[in-house]
Amino acid sequence: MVCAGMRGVLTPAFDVVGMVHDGRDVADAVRRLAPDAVLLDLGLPGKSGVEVLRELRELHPSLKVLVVSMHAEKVFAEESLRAGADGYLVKSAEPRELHEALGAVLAGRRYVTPLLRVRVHGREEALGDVGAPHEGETGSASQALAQLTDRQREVLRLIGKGCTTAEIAHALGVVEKTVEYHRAILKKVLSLPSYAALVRYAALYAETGEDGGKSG
Amino acid sequence: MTAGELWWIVLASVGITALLGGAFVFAVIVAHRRLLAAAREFARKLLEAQEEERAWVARELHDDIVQRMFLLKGRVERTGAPPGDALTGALEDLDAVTEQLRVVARRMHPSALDHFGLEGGLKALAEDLADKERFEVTLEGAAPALPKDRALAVYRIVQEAIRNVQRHAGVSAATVRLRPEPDYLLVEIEDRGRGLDRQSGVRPGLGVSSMKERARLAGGTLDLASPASGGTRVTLRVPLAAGSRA
Repeated sequence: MVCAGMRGVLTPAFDVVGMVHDGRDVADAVRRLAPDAVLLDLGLPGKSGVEVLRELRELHPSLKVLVVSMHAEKVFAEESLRAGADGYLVKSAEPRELHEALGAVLAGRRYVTPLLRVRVHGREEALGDVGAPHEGETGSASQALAQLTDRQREVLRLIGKGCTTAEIAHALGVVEKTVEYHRAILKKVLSLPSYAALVRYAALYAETGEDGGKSG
Repeated sequence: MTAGELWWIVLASVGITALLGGAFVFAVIVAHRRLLAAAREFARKLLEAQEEERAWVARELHDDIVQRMFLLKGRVERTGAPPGDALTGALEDLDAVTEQLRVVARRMHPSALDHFGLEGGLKALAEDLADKERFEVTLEGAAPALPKDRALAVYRIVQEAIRNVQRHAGVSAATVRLRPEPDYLLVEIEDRGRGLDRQSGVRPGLGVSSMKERARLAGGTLDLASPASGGTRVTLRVPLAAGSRA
């Protein structure tokens, strides 16, 4: 079901030359089909994802490997890159992100799902090399601001105007838990240390960014 | 009956009574030991069964249900709802529910531990606590490779110790230190909170006994102390090699 969906999303922009469903078959399939890149799920049966990664790195040093995983935790991205992956993507419904990630690793760049800024070999990796190292709280936040969706900006503006969670939920037509979820994502994407910092940042954004903020 | 004969009879009955008493005490001790061993074996099996079930629920949630939620969301999105439509809000709610399912799955069973071992599991725990509960865990040191069940035991003990800090210590930060010694792994969980003596009215509850039980089942030891400098320190020692004791 998932593989069929993936094939549908990838074609016709990319040629899907093969699919395997067992970790033990990956290396052999790569040898036979000689693809440019492999999309690797860490949770394949038969062999652990990290072992498959190390094996691929050893046998095919120039092969690009993009890990596509259900796990949205930093440690998964960090450890995958450390084991030799070129990119780490959290499975999402958006085909655009998959294309972007695959394009990035094929072009020799690193790609990490925007929500997971990770540190590997002392370097900060995020947003397919777009995310620069964090200089300071506001510097990194203003860079990340460009990555927000319109909807996230709307939430940020409402927080900045002092709206309560209930008011924001009502304004957006969602339940309050969803507003909390937005808030957690904003804090993460903007790399803010606390919710208090998010409120301060939002207040500043609401004050100065209502016109200019839309363009990032 | 002479005094000498009487003396012998008294001595003999005292001897027999002592022997019988001794045999009885011995039987009680043996029975008690057996019961205790059976109870411990039962506790071990219970914990194992609980972990297996948790892992199963977590896998179902994470690998199946969350995956299907994504596919579902993709299908709805491809119908092309205009922005601002009520559907946009519904899709966001779907995202939030999916995220919540992920959190539940992670807490049921730490899959980072399966993939990357104890250190990976603890990093994921620290990340989760920082993100969802505003609780800061500082991880120090490194863990050697441990058998899976032992790594899980250490993980659960650290998780429980941190839960205790959250409940009783009145602080929102803790340090977890890992130090491999020649034959055992030393794990310290330390906070700078109120300390054991000042947590008045708080009796060591199920949390502490389950930590001790897990440590024991892993062949290790667990101690709780409040150093003079304040706070609480949980010290866990687990053997590195399978089957040995710390």
